Amino acid sequence: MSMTLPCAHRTRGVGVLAAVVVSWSAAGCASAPTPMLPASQPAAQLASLGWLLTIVGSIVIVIIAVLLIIPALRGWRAGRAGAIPPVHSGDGERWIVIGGIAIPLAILIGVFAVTAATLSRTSHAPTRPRFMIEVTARQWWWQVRYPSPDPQQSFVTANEIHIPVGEPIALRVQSTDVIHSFWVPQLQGKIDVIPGQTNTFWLRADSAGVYRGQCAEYCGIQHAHMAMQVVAQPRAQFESWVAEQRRPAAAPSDSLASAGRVAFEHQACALCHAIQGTGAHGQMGPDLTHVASRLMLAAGTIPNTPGHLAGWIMNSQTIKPGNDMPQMYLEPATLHSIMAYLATLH
Amino acid sequence: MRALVIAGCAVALAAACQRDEGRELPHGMPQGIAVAPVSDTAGGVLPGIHSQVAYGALHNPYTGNVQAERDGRQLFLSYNCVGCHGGRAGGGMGPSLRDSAWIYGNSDADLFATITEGRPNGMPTWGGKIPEDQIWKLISYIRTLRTSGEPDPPPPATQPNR
Amino acid sequence: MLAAACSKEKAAPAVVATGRAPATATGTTFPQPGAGNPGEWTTAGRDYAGTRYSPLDQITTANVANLKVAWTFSTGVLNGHEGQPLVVGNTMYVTTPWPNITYALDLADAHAPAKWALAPPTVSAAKGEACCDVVNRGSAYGDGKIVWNMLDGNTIAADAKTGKQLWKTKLADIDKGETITMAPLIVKNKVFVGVSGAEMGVRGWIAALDLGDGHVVWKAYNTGSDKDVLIGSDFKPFYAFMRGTDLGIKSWPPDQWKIGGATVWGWITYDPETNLIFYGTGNPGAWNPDLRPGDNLWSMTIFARNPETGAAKWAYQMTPHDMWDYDGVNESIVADIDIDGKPRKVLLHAERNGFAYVIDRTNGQVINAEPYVFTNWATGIDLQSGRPKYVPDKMTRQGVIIRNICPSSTGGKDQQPTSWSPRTKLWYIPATNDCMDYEGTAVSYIAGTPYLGADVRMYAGPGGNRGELVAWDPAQGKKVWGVKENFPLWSGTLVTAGDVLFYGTMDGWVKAVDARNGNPLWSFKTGSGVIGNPISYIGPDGKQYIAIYTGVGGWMGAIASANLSPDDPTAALGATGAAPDLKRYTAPGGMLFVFGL
Repeated sequence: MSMTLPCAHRTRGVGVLAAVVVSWSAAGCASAPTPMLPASQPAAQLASLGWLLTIVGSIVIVIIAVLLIIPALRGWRAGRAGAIPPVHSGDGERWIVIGGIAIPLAILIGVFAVTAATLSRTSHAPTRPRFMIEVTARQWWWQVRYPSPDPQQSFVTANEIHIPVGEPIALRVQSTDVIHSFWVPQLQGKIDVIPGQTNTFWLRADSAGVYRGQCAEYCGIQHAHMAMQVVAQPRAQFESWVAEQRRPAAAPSDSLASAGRVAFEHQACALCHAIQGTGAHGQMGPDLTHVASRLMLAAGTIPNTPGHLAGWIMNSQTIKPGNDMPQMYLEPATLHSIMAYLATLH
Repeated sequence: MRALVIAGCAVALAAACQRDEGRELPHGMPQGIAVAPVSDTAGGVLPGIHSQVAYGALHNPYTGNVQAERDGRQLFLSYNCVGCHGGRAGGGMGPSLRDSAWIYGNSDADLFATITEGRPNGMPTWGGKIPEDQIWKLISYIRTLRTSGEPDPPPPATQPNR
Repeated sequence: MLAAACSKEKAAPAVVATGRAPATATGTTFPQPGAGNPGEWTTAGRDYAGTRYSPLDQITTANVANLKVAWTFSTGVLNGHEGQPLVVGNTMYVTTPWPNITYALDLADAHAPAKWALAPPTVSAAKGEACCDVVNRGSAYGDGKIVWNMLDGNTIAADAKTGKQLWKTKLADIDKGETITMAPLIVKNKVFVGVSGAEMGVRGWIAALDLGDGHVVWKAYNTGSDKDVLIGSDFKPFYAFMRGTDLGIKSWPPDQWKIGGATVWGWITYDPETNLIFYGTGNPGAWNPDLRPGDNLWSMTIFARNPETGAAKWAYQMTPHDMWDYDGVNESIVADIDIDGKPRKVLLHAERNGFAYVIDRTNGQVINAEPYVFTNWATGIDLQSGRPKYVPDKMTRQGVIIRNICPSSTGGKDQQPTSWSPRTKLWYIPATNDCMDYEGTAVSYIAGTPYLGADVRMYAGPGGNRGELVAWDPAQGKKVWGVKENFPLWSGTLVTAGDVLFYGTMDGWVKAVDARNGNPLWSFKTGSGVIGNPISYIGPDGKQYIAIYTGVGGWMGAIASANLSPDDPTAALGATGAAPDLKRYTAPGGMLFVFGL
């Protein structure tokens, strides 16, 4: 948990504390995810740990501030009176040993113990996860794979993870390029995603809802726009979502969407994107087989609406500059047909 | 002292940002390229392959751009160039790009034309499929082959076997 | 069923029909190749069984040292010359690499001039779709016709006497990455043709054409539904893991079987007794195994099919869920041998994966399978389940470099064919001894471009010799003797009744050794690396001759034939690393050599 408070100059420390408290509260009121509004047990444990650290830290800061202000006032008053009180060497030793070493040591050891215990508790699922999801972090999006022992049953999606409410699920995270960090603040702590290494983790949501996650390790120019949605659903709805995701894209019935499908396969789209059931098998960008069913686009950057999608296709570089999707030069009619086709991909 | 530290950070940040400056955004489709005359020599023709389109005017905007070279290496993998031209462009189904033999020339304009138009012995036509910006980045990568700046250079040739 | 299967193709063959009557007159006899005139060589493997055993014995271990060049013929093409010429009567038929010209050379004339040459129009763009050089592995003769495949996907039949083109059938589409390099097999009135392109994400198939007019009689895919694979009620695989319905779909992630490889670019053989054709299928589409969890049926599989209908009788998948590109297309020699005192009807199949399989050809049971080169990806083949015993450390995947896997992707043996001598009871395997590092990488399927997803680097195996001519006893499953070679062997072998074994090396030598014990007897250095297969025939003068192509190339020879860069050992799908010095020993060439006493 990386919420260490700066242990700094007294006035700056108070200012930061105030800012942090205010921003946490503000964040809790806004739609952005906040670790202080946990929706699962591990997040709750981490939030408690956070409050503990905040409170202990605040008390320490107040005490130190008092200890600094009182002698400073005394000195100031004495200076104004013209007499500087003599410094008695040896008197402060007790303060230093007890107040400067023993007490901080005790506090820090205590805090460390609580932290270690919390992290240990949050890193293991209380019951054995029923299934596992593979998440591959790529600059700057999340590839999500639901593997299955039967190869026909596995499927791939992007930036949106669905889980059944109340059940722990295992996560295996890996990266194909640089270090990322997988963080859904309301559900769990962070897990670093390191190229060449596979880390395992777990998630559980205690109540249904959409929880936003974020990349939490600077990973390049669009690190700030590398978010994801974790959707916790009741079991039955989750199963129907899985069944839908397993189905290949249905052939569209109307002519405009059919033209769009042909355009998708023959334009550059198919070089990077895959749609199961068509001739598009690109692996460089997100799988689009069920793109119309997703809440957001571009790793949580823009909502999934026709206007945003069209804007993304034509000029994603103005929305997420530097991302790997190039600016597309499509004729308006071609774009129109591709949009009609993508709208059928539920 | 503090001021020096802050100034130093600022300089470092500025230098780091300069790398990202390299990610120039494409400036839109080029204007129509003029058709070249068949021959410069009055009353004659030129031997060899001289494209009808005036590719000769083109120059790689990413020359010397290290980020573009690395992007080009990634594109070389993404578009399966490695499949024909070899893991480090040493050749295979297609010719080696590491050596100095160039069937169709190796100026910026020649390489651009080769990738954009394709070539008769099987080089696909990438023009219209991938943006020009990416073609220039691929060319930037090709320029790094066999230089010290080559991203992802080849592994050593042999490994002793027990 | 056939019409539906054919309509899936972008370009249907020239004439397609179901249940159409054969175009050859009834009553036409189709002599078995190899069974009649011992001085002829009318099919790639000399006979239906593919033994490459010549009953001629004028050339013996005693006199082969006197062999000398009788005449030569330049093919005019400088790419890799795999394959072999045919000799029918007094005519020799030479088919070149792209542009796939066939010459009919008049052996009765000392100048051996061409009676005819047929160069069907073709497109150079086909060269860009051939993974492993623009080779052609030979033609076939039947009912007065010479039939061969073009790289661009057409199958051509010409009148053997006049060279007039009789029919042309377009079977493969280069826009999808399909090409054809294999030598067709003619059995009675059918021509069997298989497609190449597993490196391009092609969905593999084998087709039977009518010899009379070239129309497609049946076509079987090697991935997809049982209906497409022509698996029906007759199908009885010996091992349990191949029993089930639609395994050609179920053993893949959704849709992956459509770009699943399992092509048929190797050799086809036939057993008249059981009336089955035998062939193997190639690697599954993409080399990156993480893209295709599952057994990936029916890649790496030996199929036994009924030649009239194409119905599969049995199948055996040698390397389920391949992780190393061990194509299963190598030839299966039909042989009757005594094992443990009992006569057995077997197939001899020296597989890419390093194991020499002896398989019961009536039902697909593996009798024995032992490694004929150093092999460490599996500790053996479990004869109960039929599956290899995989070594976990050598299982490749995406993003991880697995080092020192033996054999490398070019295998213990690639397409270069083995031979079987009923006299010595030995099976001669031109083997490669090398190992590799292999890393799976992300790859998109882009039609017409390679669908690989692997970074591979090859190098010499233990001992340092990259090739070995292995003499194998199939009854016992062990090596009897071997002749080590510096370069990987990429040429086929020929064994004769004179107990002489012929083969060629990649640096240009044609060699003869004693077939009983491997003693070197004769050699000749030709102008370019030898990757073709020697044949033997009787000339019009009644004398025995040996004929072989030279012209380096093929996958292993790409560095020399295409002038690749030795400083990139991952070039040519890794083969550059196996033979980086080849360019010092040979340059491209293209010549037919004929040797006689």
